[in-house]
Amino acid sequence: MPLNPETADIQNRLAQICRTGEIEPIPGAKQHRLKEYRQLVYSVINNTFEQAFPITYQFLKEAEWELLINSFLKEHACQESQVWKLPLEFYEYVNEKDFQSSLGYPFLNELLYFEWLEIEVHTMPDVPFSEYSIEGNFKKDRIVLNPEYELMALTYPVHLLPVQEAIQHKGSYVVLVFREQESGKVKFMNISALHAYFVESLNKEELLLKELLSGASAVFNIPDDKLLLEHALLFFEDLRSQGMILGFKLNN
Amino acid sequence: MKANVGIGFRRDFAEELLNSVVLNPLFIELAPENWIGMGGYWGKVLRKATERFPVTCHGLSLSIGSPEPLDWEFIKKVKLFLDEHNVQVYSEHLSYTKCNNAHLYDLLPIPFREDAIHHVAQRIREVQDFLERKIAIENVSYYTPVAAEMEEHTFVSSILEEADCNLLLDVNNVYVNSFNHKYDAKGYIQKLPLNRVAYIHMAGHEKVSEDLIIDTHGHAIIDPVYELFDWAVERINPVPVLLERDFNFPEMEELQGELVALQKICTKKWETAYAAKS
Repeated sequence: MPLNPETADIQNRLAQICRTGEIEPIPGAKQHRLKEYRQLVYSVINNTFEQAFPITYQFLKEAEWELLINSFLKEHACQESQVWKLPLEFYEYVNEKDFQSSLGYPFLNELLYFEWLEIEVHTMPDVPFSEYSIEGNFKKDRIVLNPEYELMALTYPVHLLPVQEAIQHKGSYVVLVFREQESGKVKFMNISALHAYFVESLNKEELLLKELLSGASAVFNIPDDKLLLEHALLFFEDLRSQGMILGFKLNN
Repeated sequence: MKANVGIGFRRDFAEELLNSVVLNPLFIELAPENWIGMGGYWGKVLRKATERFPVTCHGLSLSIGSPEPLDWEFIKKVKLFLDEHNVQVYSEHLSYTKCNNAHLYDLLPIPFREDAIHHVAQRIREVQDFLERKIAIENVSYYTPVAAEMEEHTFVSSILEEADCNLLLDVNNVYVNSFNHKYDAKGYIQKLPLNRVAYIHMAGHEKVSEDLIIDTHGHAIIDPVYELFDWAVERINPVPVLLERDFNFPEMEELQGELVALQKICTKKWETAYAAKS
């Protein structure tokens, strides 16, 4: 049964106070108590984002942080029913409104995305993978990759350096963000475009090394097979030691 | 009848609870919103917890009192979660958290009005039909009534009857509301349909000024709330009782002390009464 328009309007008005902080009188309410609701809602949002974006929170001036929180609450209609996923909407909002230009921090979107991605990879649903053995040979056996990862391209190396330093090192960075199976910890690896190709190809299909290198050679125009093989083996050993390669497929 | 006292499962002390010999709740309560779709470390923690303890669920985002349509995609996920974890009690708040197409992540008070009664009751029935179980609706704390046309107990009771749902009696909320709105807590409880109580919440709060208490769940339960609980339990059939603690966590011994205190009251009232009848 729909509400009377008047009742719905009263509910909307209270919700609006929570979002804007502008206290407008509501009939039958203790006007001096309305601010408590604004404060409660503001606290939930602010605490959620302080925890989700600790580096951004530390870096921004207090007034800048408050500007982002207040603008988000006022202008953005939060769609996520699970508050721990809300930081993604905050990142998207700040990106869309181009606060990095208005605040003069050209790395702001990347910093927020970097911090969000750590949450996303840490909490993402478990992804199934093939049965594997930790014993095997990269040259002969099919590689089983840890499927719980994301790749991120950055212009500022906020994953490597403090923000103030990262801005001095503008460039082109590719970051592999993955979750260790056993501990659930999130790791970041600075990798190259070729490495990213390896990872994405292996994630699509459990390839033999020769199949993978054949594709890479064509895409990246690398004629020296021996060099490519040595490079790939070094990278894969690193991935295996870090938990990004789980092992070798059984029954292949 | 064995008193069944549990605790709200929070990440802040999840590890301690799972490895603790000190803290011994008989069940745990989860907020589905905090766990649905969660993998990795916390997914493993959830599996360990639900394998070890019986589970109840207390929702946050159903927004049963909202002017806008129910979010059926979300409710489908809740149903899967309840089924997966064999949840026997699912409760939600008599409030709204979404309005103007925006989630607000806090519990806003529904106007105590006739049209709101029918609106909310209809929505509860729809949710119950879909979930194929009764839900328990919690009396929430509120800091101002909004455009009320009747008393709170009339509003709550009418919804419970019209929706044919259960009541989650939050004793701390009754205390908080009776203080903030200057009414008699026991008188309020007596006017509720106590035969519908399926679950009880107990918690601490914070008195922030001479005339305002905020329902924070960040402090120990105070004696007057224990006393109100003691009084209420005598009038209610045995149901699960939950200790809520959401932040400012003390040592596990202190939380266990609160569980034991609640257990003692329940045992005194319920086991004695049961023994006398048999």
